[in-house]
Amino acid sequence: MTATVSSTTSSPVIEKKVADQLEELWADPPGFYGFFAAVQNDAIGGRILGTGLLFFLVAGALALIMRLQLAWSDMSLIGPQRYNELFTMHGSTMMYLVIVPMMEGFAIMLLPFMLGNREMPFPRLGAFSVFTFFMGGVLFFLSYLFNAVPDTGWFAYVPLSGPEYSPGIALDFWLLALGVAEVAAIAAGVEIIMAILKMRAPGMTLGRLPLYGWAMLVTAFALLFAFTTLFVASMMLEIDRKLSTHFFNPEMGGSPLLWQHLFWIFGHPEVYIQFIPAMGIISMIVPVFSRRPIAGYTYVAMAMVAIGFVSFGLWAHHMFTVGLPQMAATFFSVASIMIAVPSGIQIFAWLATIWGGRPVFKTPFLFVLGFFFIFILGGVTGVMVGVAPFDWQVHDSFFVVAHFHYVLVGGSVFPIFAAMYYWMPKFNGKLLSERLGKWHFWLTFIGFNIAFFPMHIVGLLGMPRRIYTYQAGLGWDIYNLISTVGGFIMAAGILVLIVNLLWSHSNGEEASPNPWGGDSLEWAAGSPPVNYGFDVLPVVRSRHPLWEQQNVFEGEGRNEKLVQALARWPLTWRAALVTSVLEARPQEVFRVSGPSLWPFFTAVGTIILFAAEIFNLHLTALAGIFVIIISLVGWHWPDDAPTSEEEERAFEEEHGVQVWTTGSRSVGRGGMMLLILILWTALASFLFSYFYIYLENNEWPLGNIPLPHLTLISTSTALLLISGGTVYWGVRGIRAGSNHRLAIGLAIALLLGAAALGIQIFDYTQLDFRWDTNAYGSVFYLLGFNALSVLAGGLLINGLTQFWAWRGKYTARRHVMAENTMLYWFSSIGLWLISFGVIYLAPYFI
Amino acid sequence: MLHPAAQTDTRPSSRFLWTIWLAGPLAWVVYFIIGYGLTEFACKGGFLNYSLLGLNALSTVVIILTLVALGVTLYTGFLSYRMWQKPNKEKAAEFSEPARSEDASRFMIFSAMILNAFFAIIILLTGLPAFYLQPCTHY
Repeated sequence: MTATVSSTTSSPVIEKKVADQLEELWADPPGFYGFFAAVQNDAIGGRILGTGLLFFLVAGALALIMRLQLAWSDMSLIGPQRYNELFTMHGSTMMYLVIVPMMEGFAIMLLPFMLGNREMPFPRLGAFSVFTFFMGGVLFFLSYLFNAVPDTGWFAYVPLSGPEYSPGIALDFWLLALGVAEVAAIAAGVEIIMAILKMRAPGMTLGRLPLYGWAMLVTAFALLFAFTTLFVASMMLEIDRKLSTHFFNPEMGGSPLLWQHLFWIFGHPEVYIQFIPAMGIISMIVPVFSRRPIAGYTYVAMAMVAIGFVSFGLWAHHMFTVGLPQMAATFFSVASIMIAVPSGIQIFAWLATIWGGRPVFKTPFLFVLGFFFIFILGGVTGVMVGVAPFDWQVHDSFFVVAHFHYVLVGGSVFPIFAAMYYWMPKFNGKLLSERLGKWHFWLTFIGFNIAFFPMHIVGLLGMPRRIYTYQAGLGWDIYNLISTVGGFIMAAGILVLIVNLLWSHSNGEEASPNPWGGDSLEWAAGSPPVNYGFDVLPVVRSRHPLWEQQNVFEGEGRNEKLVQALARWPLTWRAALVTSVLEARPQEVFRVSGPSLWPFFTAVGTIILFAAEIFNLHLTALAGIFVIIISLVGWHWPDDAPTSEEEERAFEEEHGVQVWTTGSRSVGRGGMMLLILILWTALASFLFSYFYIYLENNEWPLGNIPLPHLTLISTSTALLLISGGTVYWGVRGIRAGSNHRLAIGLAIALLLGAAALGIQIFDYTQLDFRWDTNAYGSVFYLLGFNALSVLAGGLLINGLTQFWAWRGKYTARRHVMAENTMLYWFSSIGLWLISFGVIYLAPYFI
Repeated sequence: MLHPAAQTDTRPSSRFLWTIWLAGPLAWVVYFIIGYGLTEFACKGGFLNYSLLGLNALSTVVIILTLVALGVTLYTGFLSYRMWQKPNKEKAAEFSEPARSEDASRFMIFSAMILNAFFAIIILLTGLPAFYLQPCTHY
């Protein structure tokens, strides 16, 4: 079966006056202000991509210095300390600041077009993400200015990274600067999930979702779980360093292995967070350049889902050498081996697609072929290290370095290059040079294999990773020299890419809307697209709309009528369409947020908070928190609905979809549910830590600390439970149109919540142990502090919602914020019950 | 209630579809957390260190857990298989054959079959070593 473009590939023309209005409505403001207030998805995504590329070049340069040092035995180009810093900065940058952000940047740029909508669901969250990512990355590299460069590797194992062996602020840069970037990644993940679940074109059922959409959906969920765990672990290590807690200190009841567990619960899914988007990219490019639909669509999509789940069951295979019970190791070993099955399914599906098609060997496709070769080799060595006895032999050797570079460069970097050649023309309207593209490919491909294949051999010969030099006569010299030569050939390839990007930007061939003959909706928009994406939103009736639909703007009567109406109404606010998760039936038209400086200020507050803590400037850190709170209030400050309720109702009656000008019900609820998911993931990490530390000790509580008293916690918990009832009562009131009842319900809840918080803080002041007494004290305070912080957040949200309720801002129709406040409040209560249930009751039973 | 026969509409509810779709992965997740957590607890705390049904008690418990998780996965897998086999005349008339696989319900049912099958295999393979390994022996 082969495919050709059969449909109309550019938006139907709307009246010029209407188009001008839409363009003005959706454009970011110009100039200096506009730069910081921008929210447009292509601007945001492009900035993330560009920043990621910049960090890629820096990290690549660091790698070349390392390769020079290792080229010959007994080299003294740099000393051991500099070498430690180099591999730490190289690895950390690539893992946190390059691949994940670049994948997210691509997604933010692409998804609205690929899904057939006008914007991402939370444009301001995207803006916040780009600023935090950039500033976090810059802060990380500022460590060079202070000569305090992190030097404990990209996984910062304790005790090496703890206060005893890494005094000074170098590790604080690692923990806190990268912490900012982790916040950025999580924020972008929330946006990506909601876009894919709720903002698809009418008719784009889950069975018609482009495979890139499946990939990013799985990635974003994995990212939420994994990065939240890393963030929690990083903060625990930071307070071990700054506040003398003992989570990872074995002398006081903690455990260094707890860090390894928490880190790898993040660290291994991280590999798939980098790889699954690449699967999506490959799954989009292979069919287009093979000129046929992908073989086994459902199998490929479900392979991504399966990998997303199983990737969280592999973490301890990084710890086979620390001594696990055989049965425990079995769980991880089986998962480590079985994850190769869905990966294999995809490889076969892609190969079958190519086999059954008519391949066109343009540059994007060459990088796909390079991906096959390199990634499969990396996958095979992955299965090898999944087998525990083999892993014992090669653990921490150059074999492992070779393995993960084959996986990551093959599995992520090559697909990113493919995606650049494939999708860049869509966004800048210029094709990249094919000639330079081929030079780029061959230099990179050959250079990579020359650089990394010998590392397998030298690893098997016993060369450990992370040594800054070695003696002659061990049989390692020649392989290291070859690797260094390969590294520089690869660097030449990257240089060609940069030249290509710059040259093509001004001299490249003009790109048509669909230069490759693609099948997905982004190719129905212009190249470059207008600010509002499509004149008329597409209506999907096929998995390959541009190949199988005569016209992607025609469809089932009601859908077509709706999208036609949306092309001309509203023209005063940014309207986006919300559809159902399974069947993509139109549900809502909602107003997405516009340009604003508040996300930038929130990011500034975040960076002040984290940067100040590096230098122990606690007052400055408090100022950062103050900036964050003020900015968040400004960010969510409700503005007047631009259309009347009557006008909205008229549209609703005519088209059968709801209209929300003060925030979408379902998208808003979804965003809040994801925030709650993040908080509960953090809770799970804390609980894991609590019970892990308990298992490491023979007594509990440790050090003759008495069992906790239950009187005050019972009182505060009872108050909080009652507050849940009053919030519910208030929200039921606003559903019936009573602002007054909502305000009263929230006010009572606020008082009760504040009382519970106060009582609990008082209870903590009465304890005769502190967080630094021993590891029991550390986890006791940690879990409690977390629950109290979440409740404090609830009080803030409550206060804000109440403020507007007293002013009569809400109506029976427009009260999304009240509903979300209730959700958050209930979640805070649940989190409180579990947290304090564990720290107060568990010691009585275990 | 989960049973599809209870539904009068030929189109399964979205709650049912999500249930059969998520059952396999979630069964594995719960099995993994309980199985691994229990193993760590038992080995470090010295629990379940006696013979039960001819095996170490911890091994026996893991085998039972395996059977439960496997049962859930196979059951939902069977439900999705039966739904997949069931001809949907209304849909058949509405769509040509390729389009039917893009129909949300059919897609969810078919993908539920795939996921349940895959996770059933993982659960089975994870449980098998319990028959012959000394669970708390350290490597």
